[in-house]
Amino acid sequence: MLDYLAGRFAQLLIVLFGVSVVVFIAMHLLPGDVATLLLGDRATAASLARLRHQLGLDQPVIVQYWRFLSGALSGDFGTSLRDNRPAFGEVLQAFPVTLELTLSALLLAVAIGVPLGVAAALNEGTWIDTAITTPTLFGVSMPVFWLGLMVLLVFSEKLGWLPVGGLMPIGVHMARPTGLSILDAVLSGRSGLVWQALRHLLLPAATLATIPLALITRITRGEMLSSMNLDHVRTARAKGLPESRVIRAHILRNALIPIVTVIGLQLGLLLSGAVLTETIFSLPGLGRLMVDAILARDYPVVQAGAVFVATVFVLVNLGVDLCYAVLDPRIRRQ
Amino acid sequence: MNRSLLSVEDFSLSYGAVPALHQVSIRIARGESLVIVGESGSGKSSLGLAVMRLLPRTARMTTGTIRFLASDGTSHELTTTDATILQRLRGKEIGMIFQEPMTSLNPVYRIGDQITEAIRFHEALPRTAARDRAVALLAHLGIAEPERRMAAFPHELSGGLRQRVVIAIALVCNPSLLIADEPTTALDVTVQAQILDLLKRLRGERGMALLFVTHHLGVAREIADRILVLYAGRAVEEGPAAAVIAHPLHPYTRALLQSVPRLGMNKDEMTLPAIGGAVPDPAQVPHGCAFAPRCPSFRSGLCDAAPPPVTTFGENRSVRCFRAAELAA
Repeated sequence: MLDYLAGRFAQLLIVLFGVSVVVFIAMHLLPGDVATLLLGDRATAASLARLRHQLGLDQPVIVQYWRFLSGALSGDFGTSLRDNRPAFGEVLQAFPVTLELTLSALLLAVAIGVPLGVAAALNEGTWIDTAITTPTLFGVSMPVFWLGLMVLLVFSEKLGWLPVGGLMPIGVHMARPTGLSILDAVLSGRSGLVWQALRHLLLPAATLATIPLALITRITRGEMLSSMNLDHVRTARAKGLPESRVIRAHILRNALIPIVTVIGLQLGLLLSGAVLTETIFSLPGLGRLMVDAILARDYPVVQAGAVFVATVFVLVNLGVDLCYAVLDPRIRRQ
Repeated sequence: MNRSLLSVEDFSLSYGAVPALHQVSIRIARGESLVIVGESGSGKSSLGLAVMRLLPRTARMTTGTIRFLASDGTSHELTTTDATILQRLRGKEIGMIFQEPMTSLNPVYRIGDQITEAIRFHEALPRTAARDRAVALLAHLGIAEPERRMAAFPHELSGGLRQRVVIAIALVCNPSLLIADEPTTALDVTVQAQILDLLKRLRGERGMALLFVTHHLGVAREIADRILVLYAGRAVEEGPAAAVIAHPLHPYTRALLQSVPRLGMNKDEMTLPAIGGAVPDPAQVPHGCAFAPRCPSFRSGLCDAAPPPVTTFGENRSVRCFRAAELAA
C-alpha cells in the first residue's frame, strides 16, 4: 500500500512537471506583448522596455522557465499582472467557490441519479424505464449556457423565487474564513445567511448537475442490469434473502465500481472550473478566474491556476483509485 | 401419512415460445435422493431452478404444480405461493448449490459474511452464535483453518474450496431438501469425487432429501436412490438407481449407459458407442417419441405416430416407450 502511494506520488510530480512546461510554453507562444497590453498602445518604448525588464521578459525563455519553476516549488507563482496580488493567492481564493459548487452539484447528481438508475433497471422495458431514460438523453446533450440562462429566466426573472447570481445579496457582508459560502454562513451563526447561501447556490448547482445526473443515471441503470443476471445474485436469492436486500447488497453494491469511476471523472472535470456556470451566475470561482486571466494575458495567474487544477485532478483520481480498493477486494492485493 | 416432501406434477415450462419441460412429474420422499440425468438442453437444470422459483424472467410455466411439505407440516404450492413465504422456504427448508463455484459467490464479501447472511434472515441467532455455527460447518465440510477462511474473499480460494463454501451456504440452516445443479461439473476429477463423497456423507448424517441434477451417469450411480432420465424435456425413464443402471428399459438410457467408459474395459471395447444424431431442436420436437429419430429400435408407423404412453413395470419403474415390454424381454 505504501509502495502504491509512493508510486502515485511520483506520478503526480511527473504530471505537474509536464503541466508546468506546457502551460509555460503555451503562455509564451500566445501572440501579443504583455507589456503593451498592460501599458496601452501609447506607451513609450522606454517604459515598455523597463516593464519587460521588470517582469523578466527580456531574459531567455529557459531562464524565465527556471525562475517560474523555482518559484512555483516554493508556492510563489509571481504576482498577478492585473492587481499585483500573489497569483497563487488568487487561485486559492477562487477555489472554494468552485469546490462548493462542484460538491453540491455532484451531491445532487448522485442523490437523484443513483436511485433513478436503480428504478429504471428494476423496471426495465416498462414505461417507468422510458420515463427515466428519455430525459437523461436530453440531460447529456443539453448545452449548459442555454440551460443556465433558461433557469435564470424562469426562476429568477419570471417567478422571482431565486436570486440571479452571486454568492450573497448585494450589501450583505459576511466573514469568509473558509471561502465556502454555506460553511461560512453556518460559522457566522446567522441562520438568515445560511438560507441566503443555499438560495444562491441552488440554481448554479442544479444547472451544473444536469450532465453528471444524466450520466450517473444511465451508468447506474446499465451496471444494475448487467449485475442483475450474475450467478451470485441467484445464490443470494436461493439463501432466502428479501428482495430489497438482494438489490441493495448483491446487485447495487457490485455495480458501484463503474458508478464511482464516473463520479470521480466528473468531480475532476467540474473542479477544474465550471466556466460557463460560474460566468452565467456571476460566481467568482476558479473557472472564471482562469478565463479572465487568459484574456488579460495574466500569465502568473494562469500558470498558478493550471498547476493547481492539475494537482487537484491527479489527487481526485488517486482518491477514486483508493475507493476501488475499498469497493472491490480483488483489487486490494494487486 | 405418506406425503412426499416434494412433488412436481405434470410440470411444463417454456422459454418464450420454446418448450423446455413437457409434463414432467417427480416425487421425493423425506431423506430420499433423486438424480435427474439428461444431456445439455434436456431441461434438467430448469427443473431444479423451477422448484426454487429462480428461473430467468423469460421462463413461463404452462402446466402443473410444485408442492413442498414444510417442516411445520404446511404444504406450499411453490409456483404460486407469495414472495414472503417463498423467501422463508428458500435457504431455510430448501438449500441449493450451483454448477459454477467460481461465480456463485459474491466477489466483494468475505466468505464468513456470505454464510452467516443466510442465518441472519432465517433465525434470530446472535451474531457470534451464527459465526460459530458457520465455522463449525466449514470445519465439518473439510475446510482446514475454518476461522481464517471465514475472513477470506472468494477469489482467494480454489474452485473446490469455493464449492464447499457454496454447500455451506446451502446447508447452514439445515434444509430438509438440497437441490444440487451439476455441483461437480466445473471441478477437477479428484475434487469431484471429494464433493460427491461429502454430499453422500452429509445426506447420511442429516437425513436430508436430495434433488441432484447431472449429465453424468457415473455420478448418478454414486449418489442416487432413484434416477429419472430426461430427454428433450420429457421424462423417459424412472426407477431405483441400481435397477435402472443394471437393466435400462428405455433405448435412450441404454445408449447413454453404453457411452460411459468403465474401469477394466479391454482394448476392443475402448471405442465407446456414441448416440447418433443430436438432441432435437426444442422448438421442433418430433410428433411421436422425441427420441425416435436417433433410436436404434425405432419402428416406423409406431414410434413416429403418437407420443408414447407411460408404461409401468413392477411397483416403482416406469418408462415412456412403445416397445419397452418387448425390448425388456
